[in-house]
Amino acid sequence: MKKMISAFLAVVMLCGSLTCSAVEPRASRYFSILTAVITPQGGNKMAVSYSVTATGSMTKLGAYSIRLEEEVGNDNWITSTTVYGSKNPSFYAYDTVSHAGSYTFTGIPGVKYRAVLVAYASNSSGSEYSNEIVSSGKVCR
Amino acid sequence: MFQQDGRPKTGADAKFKEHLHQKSAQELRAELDMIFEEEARTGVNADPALVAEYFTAIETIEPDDNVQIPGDFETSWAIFQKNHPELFPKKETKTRKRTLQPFRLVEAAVLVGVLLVFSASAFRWPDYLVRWGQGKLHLIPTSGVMELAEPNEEGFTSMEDALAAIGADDLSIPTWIPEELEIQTISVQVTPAFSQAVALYTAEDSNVVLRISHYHDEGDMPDASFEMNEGEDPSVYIKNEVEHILIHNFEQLQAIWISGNDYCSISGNISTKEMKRMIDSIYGG
Repeated sequence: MKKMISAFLAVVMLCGSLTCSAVEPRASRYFSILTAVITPQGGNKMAVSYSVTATGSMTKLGAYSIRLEEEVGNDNWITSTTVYGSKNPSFYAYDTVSHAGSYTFTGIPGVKYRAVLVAYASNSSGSEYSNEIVSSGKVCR
Repeated sequence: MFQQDGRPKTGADAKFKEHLHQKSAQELRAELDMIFEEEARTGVNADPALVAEYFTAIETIEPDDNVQIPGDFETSWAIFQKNHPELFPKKETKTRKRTLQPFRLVEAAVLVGVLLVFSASAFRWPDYLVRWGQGKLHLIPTSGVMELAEPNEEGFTSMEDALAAIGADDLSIPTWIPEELEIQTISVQVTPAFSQAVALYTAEDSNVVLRISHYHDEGDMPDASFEMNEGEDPSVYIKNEVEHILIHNFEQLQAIWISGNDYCSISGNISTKEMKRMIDSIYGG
């Protein structure tokens, strides 16, 4: 049985201590730590930055997909678009233990966006897709 | 040629000086010794002027710091003592025993006790360097290799170089890794929200990843997800007033902590004891 937990570090920083809470149980022989953040860049631009750290060196490692969602009500999210690593070569790195990348899109000012990351890793033993990693929501400006 | 006091007879001064000039230094010393022996045998003091003539002649032939022209009794006596050590047997000197002060004895006893206890508990001595400094015994765990022999393509030889490149050079990171590990790669990745430095340390059947994500804005610190085994609650290891979350992901152990704008993690096939030792090394422990 596997279990995965998320650490809400943004809240943690406000509270001044490091805590974590269980969301989706899972353990992985491929992934160790995954992060996804979305940040307004100004000029209606939003950037999704992600990091995928593996348990060891992987032949292929990175973002399988990034789903962009916008808030249409109180914590009610709908998909605006999904981008895939297969169409964005920079989403992947090869023969590495860690990869970080980003995707920038144009949003609508005043709308809150969030990103949902699915990571991918493969080595000589096989491959794995991660669970969905959901970023905090940020308002486009 | 000489009177009883060793002086040359009257009228023979010139001949005496010629005699002195014809002799070698060694011969003159021999004659001088005879004068001193005669002096000792008869109890009649030799003529100081005569002795001085000998010393002057010897000094002229063979300048020597050890041969001094006697200007006074003390100097002559010192030279005489030096030239005739057999006449002045040395006093037996007492050997000085070096004794330890009581608190040093206690320290030594405690040290021996500690060594015995560690040995009895199968303490792995090869993991430690024992150093003595400032009057204290220091046990320093031996570390694996944390620096590349040559700069990599990005110009880094150590994780410190990579941290400087991402603007996190003020951050303290582990200075110790398990002895069998050796650094393999160091890389830096940059995104709009953060810059990240990652080092991979490997051994034959294990590896450790040290990852530092330096966020440009503290408000962008992420909701991070990390993998862990079911049935295990994360434990917290507090060191230097910093909380380090420890979790297991299958056989790997992960530590995650925050320092300012830096989101830090260590993950790898290491024991909890080794992980804590790595964390301790961040803070000089």
